[in-house]
Amino acid sequence: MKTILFNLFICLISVSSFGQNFIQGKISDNNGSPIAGANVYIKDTYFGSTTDSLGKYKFEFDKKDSGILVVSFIGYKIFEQQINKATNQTMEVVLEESSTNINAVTITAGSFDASDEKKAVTLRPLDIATTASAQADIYGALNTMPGTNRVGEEGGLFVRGGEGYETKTYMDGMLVQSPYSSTMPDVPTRGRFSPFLFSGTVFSTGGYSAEYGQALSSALVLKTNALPEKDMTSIMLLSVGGGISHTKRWDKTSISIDADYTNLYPYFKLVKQDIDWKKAPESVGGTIQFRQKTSKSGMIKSFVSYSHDNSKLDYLNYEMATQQLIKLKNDNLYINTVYNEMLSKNWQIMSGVSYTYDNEAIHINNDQVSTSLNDYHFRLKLTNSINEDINIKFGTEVINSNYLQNYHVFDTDMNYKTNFSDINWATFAEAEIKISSKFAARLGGRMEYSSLSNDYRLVPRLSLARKLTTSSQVSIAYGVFHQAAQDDYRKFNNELAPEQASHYILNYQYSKDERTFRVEAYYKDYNHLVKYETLNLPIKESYTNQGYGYAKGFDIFWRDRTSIKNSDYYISYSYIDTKRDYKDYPIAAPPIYAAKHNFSVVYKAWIDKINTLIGVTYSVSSGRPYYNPNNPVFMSDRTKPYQDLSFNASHLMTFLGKQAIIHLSVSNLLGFDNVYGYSYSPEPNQNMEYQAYPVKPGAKRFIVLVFILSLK
Amino acid sequence: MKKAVLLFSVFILLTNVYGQSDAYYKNMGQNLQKFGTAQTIEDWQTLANQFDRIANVEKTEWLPSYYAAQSTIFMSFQEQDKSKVDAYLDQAQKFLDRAMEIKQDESEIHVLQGLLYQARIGVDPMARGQKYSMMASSCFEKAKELNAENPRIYYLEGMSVMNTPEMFGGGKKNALPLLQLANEKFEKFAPSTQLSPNWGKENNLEQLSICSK
Repeated sequence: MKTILFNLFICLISVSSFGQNFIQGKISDNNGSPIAGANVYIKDTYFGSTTDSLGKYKFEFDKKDSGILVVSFIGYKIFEQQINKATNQTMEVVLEESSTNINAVTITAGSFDASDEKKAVTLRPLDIATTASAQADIYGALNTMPGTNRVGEEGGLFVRGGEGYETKTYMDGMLVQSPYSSTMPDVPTRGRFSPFLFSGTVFSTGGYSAEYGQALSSALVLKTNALPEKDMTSIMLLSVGGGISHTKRWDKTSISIDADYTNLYPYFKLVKQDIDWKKAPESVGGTIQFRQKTSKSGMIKSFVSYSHDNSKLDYLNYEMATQQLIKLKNDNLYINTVYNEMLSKNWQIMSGVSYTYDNEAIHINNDQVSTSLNDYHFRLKLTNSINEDINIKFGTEVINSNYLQNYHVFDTDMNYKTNFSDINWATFAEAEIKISSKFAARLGGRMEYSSLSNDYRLVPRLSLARKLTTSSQVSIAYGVFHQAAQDDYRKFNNELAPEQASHYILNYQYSKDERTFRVEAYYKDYNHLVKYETLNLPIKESYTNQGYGYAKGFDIFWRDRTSIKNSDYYISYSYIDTKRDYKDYPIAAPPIYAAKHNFSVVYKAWIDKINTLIGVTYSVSSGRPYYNPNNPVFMSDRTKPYQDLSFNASHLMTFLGKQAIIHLSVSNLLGFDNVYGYSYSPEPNQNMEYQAYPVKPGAKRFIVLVFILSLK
Repeated sequence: MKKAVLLFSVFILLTNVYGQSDAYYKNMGQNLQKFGTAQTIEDWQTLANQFDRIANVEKTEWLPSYYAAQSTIFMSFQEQDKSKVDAYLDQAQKFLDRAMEIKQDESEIHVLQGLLYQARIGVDPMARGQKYSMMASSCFEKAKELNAENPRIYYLEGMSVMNTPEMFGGGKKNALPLLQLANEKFEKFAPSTQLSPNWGKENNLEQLSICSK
């Protein structure tokens, strides 16, 4: 008995020593460079090792049969391979970069990705608030990015030869139908929403994903904040108003309520304005945000915003040679609810609904125009990550627009009513494929149908990106984009087809150590733009889709966040050559907003000694085209160049033991005398000349002082 | 003979069971010893790899994943290239998620999650400071709920206060009470097993002496 046991024991020992294997080899990347620090091991065993500085490893294992060799390293795909028991095996492994690798190829053509989590971010939410010329307006800050044209008398985002309306704003994937506040003639508009509502911004200047439609030129995709961490209350006092906000957080739920009031009356009393305000702009509004975590990966987000604006001014309408008393009242309600959830490991669902109610009542002398919008947007999107390299998404959305305008003419006591309803239905599908760690493609298509114009469109979207070196890449993008004709035209002719733009983009990007350089060349082809003889002529046939145009140019962007200590700056330059034959233009000509050269420098520095962040923005644009009836060549005159030097400072401090910020912002510090364009008298004077009147800002400078106090 | 076969199988079974857990204790113990001397990125990477390998075998133990996460976070502190830090922390988060899945209500795991959020701040203090410091403090609250005697909570809270500007209620003076509290807790603290987390005492003393000056 004992001998048997003993024999067996001997047997066992010899088996284990016979089973002793060595495995060794080298781990390297695609370029043949060794990877140090990689984890090399046999699956489900303790046998393993870490590669040395030459990428080499060696370890023993006594797995009797065989095993699976695993190699893993941060930024690379996990490698697994069955190995046999042959002794002293050599296994040389080449690891593939994973798509999460910071050096992996990404599709960059056309877009400025700016979420806080991204590595090579170009514009973060905080940047918007601290950009000197922006005055905490999202659109104002984006106007310092390349590819935009500053249009001081209107505000908004004019992208690569496109009108302001060609940029659409999306919040958590849902369309925001009226993202700008209503304003008076020659007074620039602002975005309705505070930049602090958002944790991420993707600003696309063209060639964007099939997911987004109804925007000819640009998509601004805003992502709202996730669940706030804690209860918070803050009070904001402005030289032109104030606000209060409160956030309450429960385990899986949060509610944030925010109320604001602004009134420019005291400011306009203090600083003389060239505009004859009878009632300075006054605004009261608020937002409610609700968040509910429905599971580990599921979340419902609801957003409600309401605002009421009113103002009154005496407007010298030179083009009509009249004085007009204009009174404006605007009510805007925006609601959206979005639900996101992982259905399984790979499938994700996003569904949402948004509603916009906007009512604008304008009195011009005694006439009254009241316009209301009731728009609904429904959206369903499914995303499937088939594997790390292939991602597909598809979905459908419906936009239901209901427009109603009532024009009451006082003299005749007549009412003119125009209205329309449209159901715009779209489906989209797109695949994003990492063909290798150096080459990625995005292919998609979008189909749209409008019930009003009874018009089907199927359009392609395509992007390719190729990595050149670890820090540089080239990308191209192509896409066809449609947008329903503007309400002001559709109300008279509701058979108008959508306007169309094709984008061709070539992009080069270099990014290293928090320095980014990118240059992007583009060509845009516009078709089916709306043309008319005379604006507001209530004759259906006078509005057609016969307009067309083009835009071509290049944008350059350079950002450096490391070279100067505690500083961050970026420089953008855009060149554009564009012509359109649209609206009432007699020939194809550069539109009034398109300055050929646009240049901006945005500089920010944190000064530790005084706990202050200062920001300076300098912008210069070449002269804008304007129509001079004295010149027989249409749109051949140019204004003088536009210049602006803006400054802001945010000082952090404690006030009554609480955290506080004092913020000062001044535009046009040096007092440049800027002219946006000219209006002309309708009739020539005795010298047979039309009299020119410059369109200028209401005041040279705008100064705002803000005090924010957080009561935790 | 039958008896022999039976005895033999029992023997094999026993060696397997004990062998396995012996290997666990042996490997864990060896690696934990290296914790005290690890300094460079390579040292921490090697440790993280080893703990990750153990975690891949011992799928019901939270400690290997916990230590893999901790090694990876400590590795990120040594990294000069900021663009790499997030990738390290993403990896650490994966380890931590794995630990959390095994044991949800472990105070130590929540403390480490707090440390990970604090580490995120370093990449871009201006943009991330507020968000991640709040996320970290939520983790510490949670960790306190689960075990208020855990000294590492107060040590990390103290460190956070120390790194906050004085005008916002930070600085050495304000950190002192927290670090002192941490020290008291460290004195009383006894890890529940030999392998349980037991780090931070020396560092706390070091910081305490800096703050006391």
